[in-house]
Amino acid sequence: MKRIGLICALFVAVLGSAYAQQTTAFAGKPAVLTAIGQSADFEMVKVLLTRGKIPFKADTLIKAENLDASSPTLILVVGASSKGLGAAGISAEAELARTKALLKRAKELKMIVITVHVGGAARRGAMSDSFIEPCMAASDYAIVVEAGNQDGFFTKLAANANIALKLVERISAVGAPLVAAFK
Amino acid sequence: MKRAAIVLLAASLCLGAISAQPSTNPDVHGRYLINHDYRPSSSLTKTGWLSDYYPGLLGTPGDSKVYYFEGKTPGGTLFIGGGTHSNEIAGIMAAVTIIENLKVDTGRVIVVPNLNNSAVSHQDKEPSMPAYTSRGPSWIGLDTPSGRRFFKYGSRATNMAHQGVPDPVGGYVHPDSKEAPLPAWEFRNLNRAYPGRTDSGLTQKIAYSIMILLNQEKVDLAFDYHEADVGGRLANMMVANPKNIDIAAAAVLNVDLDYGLTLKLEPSNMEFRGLSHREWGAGSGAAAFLIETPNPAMAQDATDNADVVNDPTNPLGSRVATHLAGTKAVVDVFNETNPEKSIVFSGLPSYEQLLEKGVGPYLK
Repeated sequence: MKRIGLICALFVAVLGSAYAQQTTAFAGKPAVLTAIGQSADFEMVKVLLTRGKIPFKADTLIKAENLDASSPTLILVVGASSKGLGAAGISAEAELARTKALLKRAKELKMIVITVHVGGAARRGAMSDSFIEPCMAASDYAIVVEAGNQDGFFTKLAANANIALKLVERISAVGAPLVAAFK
Repeated sequence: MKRAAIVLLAASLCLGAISAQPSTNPDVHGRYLINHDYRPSSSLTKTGWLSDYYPGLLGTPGDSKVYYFEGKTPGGTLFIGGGTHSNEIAGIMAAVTIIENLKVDTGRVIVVPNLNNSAVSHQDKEPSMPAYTSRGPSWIGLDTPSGRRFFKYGSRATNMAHQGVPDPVGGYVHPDSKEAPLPAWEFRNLNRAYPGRTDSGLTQKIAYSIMILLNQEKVDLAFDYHEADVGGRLANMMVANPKNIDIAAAAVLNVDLDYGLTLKLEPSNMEFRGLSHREWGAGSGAAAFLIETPNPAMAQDATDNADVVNDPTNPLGSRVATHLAGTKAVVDVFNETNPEKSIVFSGLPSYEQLLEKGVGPYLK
């Protein structure tokens, strides 16, 4: 009951701000969801989209050639997991190449790109940051759990890319702004 | 005729005398074990032993008590294991808290508080074993409504004296692993031994019995409660077999929303063999999970006097609360998607109660 109440309150708050700012909802449906860095954070964002009733196709390893105009939004769950990369059978270098190719193709298709970082400090560091930088540079919007931005890394990248950055306190608060981004 | 009657009478007297003799086979269950002071709730249906699943454990220090709680309505089966590593005391105490408070309405709950019962018998400090694995007290004391009670704190590994087979020279390699050898003592680490085998050491036999239990009891959800080094990668984490990572992801979000409890999430590494979440999930029908909480005695800079009960940052109450909250969240998500296999229970202290008062007040 408490959870339902909290979810309702969050959605009401976000919908309220969406009505106040017409530009809030800008992303088209359905979305393509992928993991950049192969962390399990992907699974949690998948749950958030499902609960928000946003239609999406989930593919942790989707390649550029598999993007097409039928899915106007690309959501990147970014954060490196060496274990996840190993399990997926992909090197960090190959993952970075896949990411850059995806971003290039998304631009050609005029897709909306949203970067989501939910893993906090545990999903920062040299490898994660090498994925985060190109994603932020090519994104239209970013949603980040604050614990991952304690050094202002995302704030700086968002300013450089001139994109909106939504910082949230907890992972459970990512769902509301993410869902609200969709038209 | 008279002689025949006398013979028959004598024979029947002898048979009667034989059947009246007390059994000459004493119950050897738990013969070498510490008699843990666990006081189950009135909802306990029965107790059994791991040796019921693999008789080769009978009378050995690897046998361990199994507690069964059955609801009035049929449903799914939840398995809770503590004490894979006996120095990870919050896992044991979370299982004991369940045993002493649980009321099951629908389905079944099976609890083994000391999966590796041999490991409670020692705190060996072996040269190749990291210091964090063998620090801590021999017992912990908790103030409960019935007075002060004591619970055994042990080692990460099976007692070398019980294993029956020497640690392998050159290191331990899981029979199905293609990875480099682990330190030799890992041969006695239950969480490197699954699915176990009967022609090896005691640790491997314990693992084997647990796999039989999971399959024979048709367990739907299985938890292995652990602890990790404070501030390390594993602390406050839920690990899930890839086949049930979706349930874990939803549960992790729910504990974040409900309690402000942040748990990291990782899938099992399918190449790293022998771990419970990997092998339970692959070798049984159970959705397999492991929860890690931060144990103050396992911090890299911990001293031998680390307070594993009343540490101001990570007290026992908060660690047990994390195990129970994570478990309940998984069960709730499972019930939403599998209503025909629901597991419904009550009676456990709440997350907030455990944070506020600790574990002792919620034991008998």
